[in-house]
Amino acid sequence: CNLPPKPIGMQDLNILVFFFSFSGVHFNSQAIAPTIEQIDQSFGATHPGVYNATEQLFHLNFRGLSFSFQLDSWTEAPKYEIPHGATVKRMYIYTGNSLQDTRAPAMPLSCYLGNVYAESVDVLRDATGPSGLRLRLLTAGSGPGVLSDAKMRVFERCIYFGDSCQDVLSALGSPHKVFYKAEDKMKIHSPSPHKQVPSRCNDYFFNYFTLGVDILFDVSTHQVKKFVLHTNYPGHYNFNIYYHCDFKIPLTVKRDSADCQAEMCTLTSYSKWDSIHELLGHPTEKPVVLHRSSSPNNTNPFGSTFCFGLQKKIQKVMQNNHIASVTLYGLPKPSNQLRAAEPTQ
Amino acid sequence: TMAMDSPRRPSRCTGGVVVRPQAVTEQSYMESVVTFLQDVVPQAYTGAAPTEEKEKIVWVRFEKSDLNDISRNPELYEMHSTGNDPPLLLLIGYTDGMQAWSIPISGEAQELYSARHGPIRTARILPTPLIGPQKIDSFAEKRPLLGMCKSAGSSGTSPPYCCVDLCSLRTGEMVKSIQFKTPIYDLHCNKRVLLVVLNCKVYGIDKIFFKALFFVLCCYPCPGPNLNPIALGSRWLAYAENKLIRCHQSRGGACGDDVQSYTATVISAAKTLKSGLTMVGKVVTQLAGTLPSGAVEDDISVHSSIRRSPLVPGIITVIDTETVGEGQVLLSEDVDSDGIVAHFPAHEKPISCIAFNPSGTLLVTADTLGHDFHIFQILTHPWSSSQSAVHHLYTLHRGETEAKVQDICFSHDCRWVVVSTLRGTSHVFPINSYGGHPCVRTHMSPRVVNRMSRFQKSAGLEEIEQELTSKQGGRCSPVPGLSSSPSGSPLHAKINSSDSYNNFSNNNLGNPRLSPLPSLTTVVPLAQIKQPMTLGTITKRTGKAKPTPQISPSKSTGGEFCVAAIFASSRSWFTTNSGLKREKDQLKQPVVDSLYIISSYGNLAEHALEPYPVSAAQKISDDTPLEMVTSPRASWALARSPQWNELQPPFNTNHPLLLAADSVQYYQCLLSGLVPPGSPGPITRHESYDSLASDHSGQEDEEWLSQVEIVTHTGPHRRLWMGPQFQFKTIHPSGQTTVISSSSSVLQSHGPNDTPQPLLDFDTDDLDLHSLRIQPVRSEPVSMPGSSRLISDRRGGSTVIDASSG
Repeated sequence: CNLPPKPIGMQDLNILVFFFSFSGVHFNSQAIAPTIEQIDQSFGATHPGVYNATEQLFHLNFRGLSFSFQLDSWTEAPKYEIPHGATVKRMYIYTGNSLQDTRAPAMPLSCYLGNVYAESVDVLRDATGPSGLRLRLLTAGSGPGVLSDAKMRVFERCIYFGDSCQDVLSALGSPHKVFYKAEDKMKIHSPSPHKQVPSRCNDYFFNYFTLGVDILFDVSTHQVKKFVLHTNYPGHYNFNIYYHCDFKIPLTVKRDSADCQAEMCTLTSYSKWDSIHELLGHPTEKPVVLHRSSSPNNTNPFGSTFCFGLQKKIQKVMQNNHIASVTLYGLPKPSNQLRAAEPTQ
Repeated sequence: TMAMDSPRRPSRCTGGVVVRPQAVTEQSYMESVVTFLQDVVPQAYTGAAPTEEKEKIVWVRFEKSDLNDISRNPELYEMHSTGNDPPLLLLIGYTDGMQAWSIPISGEAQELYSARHGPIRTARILPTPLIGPQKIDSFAEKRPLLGMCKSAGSSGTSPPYCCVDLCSLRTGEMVKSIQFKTPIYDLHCNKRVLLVVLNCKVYGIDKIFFKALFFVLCCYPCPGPNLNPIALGSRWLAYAENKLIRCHQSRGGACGDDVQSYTATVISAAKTLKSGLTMVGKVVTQLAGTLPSGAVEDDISVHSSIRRSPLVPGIITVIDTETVGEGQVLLSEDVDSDGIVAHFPAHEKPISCIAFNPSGTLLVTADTLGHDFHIFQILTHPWSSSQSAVHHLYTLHRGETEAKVQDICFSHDCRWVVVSTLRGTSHVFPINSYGGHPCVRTHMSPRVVNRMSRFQKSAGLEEIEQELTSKQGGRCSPVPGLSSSPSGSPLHAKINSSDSYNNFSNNNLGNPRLSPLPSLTTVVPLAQIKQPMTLGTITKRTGKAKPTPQISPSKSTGGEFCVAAIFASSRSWFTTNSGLKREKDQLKQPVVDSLYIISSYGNLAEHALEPYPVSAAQKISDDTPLEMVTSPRASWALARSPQWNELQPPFNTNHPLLLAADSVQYYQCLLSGLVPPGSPGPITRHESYDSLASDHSGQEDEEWLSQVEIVTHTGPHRRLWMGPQFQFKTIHPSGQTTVISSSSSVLQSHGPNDTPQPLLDFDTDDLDLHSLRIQPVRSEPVSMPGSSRLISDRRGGSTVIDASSG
C-alpha cells in the first residue's frame, strides 16, 4: 500500500488558524479559541486527561481524537482536570482507541477497484546475489465474475530474473503501463566496449505503480533482467507516481577476512543510507549523481539523487539519506557466467 | 564472390547439403512466375536445372529450438548483442520423410537432418526443458529429441498418425513413443511442455518425464488447414473453446461490427452442432519396446453437460500451463478453476488460427471466413480470469473473399504481423503493441517508441483522452438496451461506468484492466506477398463452385500452398559481390527485419520490407500513414531431390543441433545450481559468490554503473509538486534553514516495529541537518548548469548525469 499514514497532527492551533467544527459546532475559528471549555462543549465528557511529564503536555483523549494542552504556567501537574482557559496546543486524528495503539486503517474494499497492492516485497537471493522477488499481494474483486464477492484476497507470488513476460503477467497481473526505454545513456559506463553497439531494439519496463515495482525486460529474450523498487518518499522527483514498496533486502555484511562467515542484515524501505553505510563499511566507490534537471517551465525542486552500487543492487539515495529506489540487476549475462565457469579449452 | 559460383550445387559439409543464396530481383521473381505457369511439374524457380526432379513438399515450418534460443545460448546472446541473428531453423515435410535446415546469418543454408521414412504429419525439435533440483532430466544425454508423428508408429500396430515418436538426434535411437487413439493433428512445444493436438482435444505432456499433465477436451473444431488451432506461448496456451462460461469471462473481447448479437451466435452454434462432433475417445500412453510403461489416460471424466449444450464458435480460452494443475481443464459455472488466464469471445465464426506475439502479451486470431483478423491485448489479473480484461486493439482487414489462414508470424519487436493464407499470400500488417494507428512516428524508426509522443505527453493529451472515454462510457461498454448498436457487442463484457469513472481520477494508478480502453483500429495490409504459383491458380479457382473442405492435412493440393513466414535480419548481403554495396547495406540499418517465406516448392525467399510515408501526403508529420514496398532479395532452393542422400542420426558431436543442445543444457545446469556434466565441480558458484562479496574486483565495481536506470516510466505531464496545490518553500523556524519537502517527517512512516513516534512536527529539532548534502533547495527556477556544477563541485569528481524531465 501507500506509505502507512501516521496520525494526522495539528499543532499551534493559535498560530495556524483552522476552522474546525464537530456536529455543526465550531470549536476553533478566528473568533473562537480552542479552549478546554470549547472542547468540552463540542465533544462532551471523556476520561480524565493524562499528563505527560516529558512533553509537558496534557492529553485529552476521545476515540480517534486527542487534544494536547501545554501547561506552561503550572509548575505542578494537575491531577485530573485541565485548568480553565487552557488552549489546545496540538490535535491528533487517528484510527483506534488511543494514540498509543493506533494503526493505519485497512484500505476500504471499495477502493481496490480490481487493483493489486503489495503488502510486502522480499528480495530472494541465492549465492550469486538477488534472484527474484516474493510479493505478498492484496486484491479485491470488482464487477461480475468469480471474484464478485467483496472479499480481500491475500496471496504470495514469486518472480525471478529470467522469467518471461507471461510468467510475470501470470504472477502479478498486467502492468499499468509499458515503457520503452530510450537509448541507454548508461551504456557508456559498460565495461565491455563491444556492448556499445547500438541495439536495434529497446528494452521495456513493466510499470506496476500500485506495487511500487518496475520490471525491465530484455528485448531480445523477453525475459526479466532488472527489478526497480520504489519507496515514494516525499522529496523525490517521482513522488506520488509509485506506491511505497515495503521491501526487505538481505545483505551480506563482510567481516574480517579471518572469519569467513558472512553475516546477514536487512535493508528495508525505511533504512537510512548512512546506517547501512556504517554496517557495511564504506562503499569503495563514489556515487553517481543523478540530476533530474529542470526544463524551462518545469522546475525540479528536490535536487539530485545519488546512486550507490552494492551487491548487485543500486540504491538511489536522496539528500535526506532515505532510499528513493533500489535497482536489482541480478541476472548475469549468460556469457559472463559461463566464461567464468567454463573449463579452459 | 563466394556466393555466386554455383549457388545450389549440393555440397557435402559435415554431412548435409549446403545451399547458398541466389540474388533475386523483382524481374527474375516475375519471370519465375511465367516459368511456373508453363511447367507442368513445379520446380525450384531459381537456376534449377530442368532435369532435376524435386520431392513433393507437404508442410513447412519455422522452428524455435535450442539452435536459435538466444536466452539460453550464451554465444548466441553475445552475437545478438552485436546485432547478429541466431540461425533460422526450418523443417520441411515431404510425402516421404522430412528435412531440417539451418540458415545462419552467413546465408549458407545447411541441411541438418534428412530422412525418408514414410509420411510425417508433423514434427518438432524439442527445446531442452527447464530443469531444477527436483526436476532432473533423465533424457539429458539423449537430447536433442525430435518429436514426430509418422503414418506408421514405431509400435507398428497402431493406426496411422496416432503416435508421437521421440527420436534422439544424438544417438539415433527411439527414446519414447506416446500413443493416442485418434489421429494427431499437430505438436507444439516450449521449454516447459509438449502439446499433442488431436480432434477437439489438446494434451499437455511433461517435457522431462513425458507424462500427461493436463488435457483440454472441449476445443471447437475448424475445417482446416489447422484442424484444431492452438497457440503456445512461453507459458500460456490459447485454444478455441466450444462454449462461453459467463463467470469466467474476462472483460472485453471482440467488439465491432463483425461480432453479431448473442442470439445470432447461438443460432449459428446450433447449426454447427449437427455436424456430429465426436468428443469421446481414449488416449493410451504406451511405450515402445523395452521402455518402462507410461500412464494410461482415460477421458471418462468428461462432463455430460458439455455434450448437451450447443457449441459456441469463436470463443478463446487462455490457460496457464504452469498453474492449471493436472487432469482435465474444464471451465464450468460452479468451479473456481485455477490457471485460467482469460476467456472471451473473439470471433463470430469458428477460430481458424491463433498466435501469440513474441512477448506473449498479444494474441492474434483468425476465423474461418478470413476477412478480418483480431489482435487482442491480454491484461491479466493475478487471481481470476473474470477480473482479467482483453482489449481488442486491432481488426486486421484482409479482404472480402474467403481465405483460410495457415500461418501467423510477428516481427521481433511486435510492430509487424504477417498472416499467410492457404493461397500462399502473405499479408503484412503494421501494429503497435499498445494500439493506435500505425504511422511514421511508430513504424519509421528502428526502435519501438512509447505510446505517447513527447508532444502528446506534455500537452496532457492522455488525460484528456481518458476523460473523454470515461464520459462516453467507453467505446465498448454497452449501455443496457443498446445491445444492437454496431459499436457495442453484447458479448462484450460490461465495464461498469462508475468503476471506470473512479478509475480515471488518479492519473497513473488506475486499474490497467479497466482504463484507458484503447480505441479499436482497423488496419489494412501494407503489402501482400504472393507466391509465384498463386497467379496461375487464382484463375483456375474462379470456376470452382465451392472449395471442398479439407480433412487431411496434406496441404498442397490444387490452389493451396503451404507457406510459412518468419522475420529475421538480412542474410542476402552475401549475394552482392561488390564490397562497397555491402558496406553501405550494413551501415544503413533497415527499419524492418527481412521477411523470409518458405513456399511449398521449397524455395525460401528473403523479402526486404521498406515502409515509407504515403506519397500522397503533402507534408510528412508524425501521424502520416504508411505505405510499403517489398522486394525479393535472395532465395534458397531447399527442396530435396530424390538423388540427395538421407542424413540421419547418430550425428557427430559437432553437429549444430547437438552443439546447441549441449550449450543450453550446460547453461541450464548452471542456472539451477546443478553440476554440469564434465565440469570441474561446483566451484563456479563459489567463485562468483566470492567476487560478489568482495567489493574489490574491478570488473564488479564498474559493472553497476552501466546498470543505473534513469527513467523508468512515462511521467505525467504535471507532477504533484508542480503545484498549484503544493508549493515548496524554505522555512526559517529558528534561524536555521531547512526544507520541508526533503527533510521533515511529513507522511513518512517508520518501520512497523518502531515505537510510536512523537508524531509529526514541523519543528526542526529532530532533523539531522548535517545529513543534508546540499542546502538550501530553492523553489525558484534553478538554472540547470549552475546547479549541476554546484553538485559536482561538492561531490568532488562524481559522475553527473542529466536526465531531462521530459
